Amino acid sequence: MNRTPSTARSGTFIASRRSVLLGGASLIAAVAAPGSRVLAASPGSNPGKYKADLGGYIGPKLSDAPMTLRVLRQEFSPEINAPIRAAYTAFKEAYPNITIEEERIPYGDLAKKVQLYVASGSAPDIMMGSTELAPVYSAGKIAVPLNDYFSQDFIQDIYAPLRESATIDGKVMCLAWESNSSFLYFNRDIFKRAGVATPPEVIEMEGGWTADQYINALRAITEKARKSGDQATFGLASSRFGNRGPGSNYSQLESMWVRMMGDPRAPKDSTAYKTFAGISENGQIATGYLDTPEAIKGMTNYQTLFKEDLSPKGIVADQYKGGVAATDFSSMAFANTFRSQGAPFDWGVSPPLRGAIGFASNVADAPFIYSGSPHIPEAAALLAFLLNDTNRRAFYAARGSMPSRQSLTNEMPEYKSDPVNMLAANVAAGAYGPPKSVGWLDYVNAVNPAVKDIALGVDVADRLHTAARQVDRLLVKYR
Amino acid sequence: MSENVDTDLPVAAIQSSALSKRAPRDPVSLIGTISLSLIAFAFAFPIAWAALTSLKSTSSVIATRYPLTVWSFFPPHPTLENYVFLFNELKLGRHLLNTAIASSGQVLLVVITSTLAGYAFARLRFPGREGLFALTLLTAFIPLEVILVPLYQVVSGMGLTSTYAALFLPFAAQPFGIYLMRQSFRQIPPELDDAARVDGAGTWRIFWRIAMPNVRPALATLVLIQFIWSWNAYLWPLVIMQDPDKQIVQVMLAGLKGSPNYSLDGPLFAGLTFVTVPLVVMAILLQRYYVRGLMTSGIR
Repeated sequence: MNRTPSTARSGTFIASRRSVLLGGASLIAAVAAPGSRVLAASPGSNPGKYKADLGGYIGPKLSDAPMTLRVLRQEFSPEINAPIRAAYTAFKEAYPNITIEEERIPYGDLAKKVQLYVASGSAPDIMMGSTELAPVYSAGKIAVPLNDYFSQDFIQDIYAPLRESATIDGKVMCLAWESNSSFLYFNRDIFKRAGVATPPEVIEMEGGWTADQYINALRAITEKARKSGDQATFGLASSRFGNRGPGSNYSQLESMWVRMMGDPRAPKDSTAYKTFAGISENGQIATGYLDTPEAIKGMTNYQTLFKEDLSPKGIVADQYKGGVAATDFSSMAFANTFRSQGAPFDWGVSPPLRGAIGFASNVADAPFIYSGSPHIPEAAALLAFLLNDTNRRAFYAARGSMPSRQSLTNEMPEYKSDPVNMLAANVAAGAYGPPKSVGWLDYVNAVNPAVKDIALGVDVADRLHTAARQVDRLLVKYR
Repeated sequence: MSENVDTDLPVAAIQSSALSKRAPRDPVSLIGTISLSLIAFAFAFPIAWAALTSLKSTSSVIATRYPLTVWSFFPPHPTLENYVFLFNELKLGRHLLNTAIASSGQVLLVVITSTLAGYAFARLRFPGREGLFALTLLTAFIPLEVILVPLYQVVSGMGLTSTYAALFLPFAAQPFGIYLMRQSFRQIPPELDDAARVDGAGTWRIFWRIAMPNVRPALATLVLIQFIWSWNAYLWPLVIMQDPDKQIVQVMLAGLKGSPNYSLDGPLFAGLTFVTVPLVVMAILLQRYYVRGLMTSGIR
């Protein structure tokens, strides 16, 4: 696919430390200077150069002085924690002077904890962040740019949309941990019962249904279900993302309804381009981007889902997996769950929906190195070790998620033969990062309620205009 | 014989009359009973539902959750696998112990500080007493979120990060506890102090021998409330406890719901049931003292 870099991707962010501190919801900057050691000259892989396989690490030789590295990440189940723990043990064997202290917390509390740590000036050396917050890490000088510590080969191996999301002004602020762009899952049994044709089961990013085709199919399914007395089955499952239900998580889910109506290849001054961009080039103006005619059309489609009872207005947990929703959007997670635990129904996948373009969002968890760390090279080395091929393979095998690096998916047979995996890889390569703004959290905090209001029936145009103006006001502090 | 018959008849009539008198109930009392039953059901239902759901496998939880049927509430194939997983794989026992240590520490410290401070504010005369008491009460209006960063810096600076003491030391003095105990101590007639002093008792002896035995209901209230607060604590343990093995059970359980793509709903409900039970049992056991404590302390 021929893709044009978006304004947001190439955006330059000029924000004072004070403005980031004022950002409230944004991460607060801590004063810290990166280490001043001389970096190794040669990029590339490092066989034999270090005591362990440090993967893409190209930084200086690690210190022999005793030290403790702190890592903050989300909690996983025991079988997923196991390969990470094994990696720590292996690292400790190679570098006995380095003690690793890991802190695992509930996923929903990660951002809060990072914020607190940074504000206190005493944060772990490595913290799990998110690609969507890369502008915040950069503007607040919270994270160490990783270009000096990771080889260009390693960085280029990361799926382009994930890499671009994490890159600000050419500096990579964090490294995507896994890839989880969503595509369309459907319940073949429900489609069959309704006598409705299933969506195209192809692996190309642009091969899916248009939004109109999708909505028409859901109409037919829901109408049939209601006529047969089935009040429980819906066309689209209640969102599992973020806050659940309508307006759950604009970054990862609902933005697709708007941004698919835009076009990154259109002239920059066109509404089609601005709809896709979502925010001005400097990341500070939403009016004229979030509320274009195309955006209004996209959110009107979204509203139709709820207005016509095609999706529940409230929260229904695990509706698709429970077999009472014809479709849902998910990454490889559903497929892996169904394959490992057995599927309660006949399921299939289809590419993301299309408006002017096929659109999937690519927000990913992404560890970064705290700029205040007293052991930046060693932290970078540990991160590189965790991300080396061996440790990544072990993690992905336990977790079942898709690698964030292309070379790893290329070597896995299932990504050459299994249509679901192949679609996931194509979506990962063709997905788009969220609009880049140092005030991205302010943006989504203003837009999520608007999306919910729209789902519940308010005037789409009015609500989008209001939300755009609200975002503008919230972002003034970053100017 | 006939006498017997004659004797029996009035007895039966009296019994019958008594029964007929018992039958019509006071409508206000009846409405009260029904209302309280409904309220009790509303509060007990989620706990009972969680307990029943804990006996389902995660896949069964997902399959039976929606639409609502009888199997949404009852386990179609009851299993204890969630409890086995919780204790064997997730080490729930260790996390329960961590929580118990934190709660016990907090209850103990708060009882000590609240009784001492409450007694001082109620019975001792010293300059600035009322002002100090007002200042103490003012701290109750500062939410934890506001002081989280400086509090973290202080406790971290003391080298207490990831220690059990860090879980409860910052809450060793509670304005509510001090207020509760002050009110309770004020209910004791001052003549008791005077009599004790005449008998040669000092302040400490009066506190321990005279005042404390008279505020037992308030103490029970304080213990119960503090236990519930500390048992349910989340934000501060999340912040200050960085060692996963020492983390309290509430934060550990929150980790189970963090990844919706990889559901652990079965163990989550089992864990929630397990942490709720001690509170329910304590509330039932101590509710009589709790009510009496609030009554005698003047907090109604």
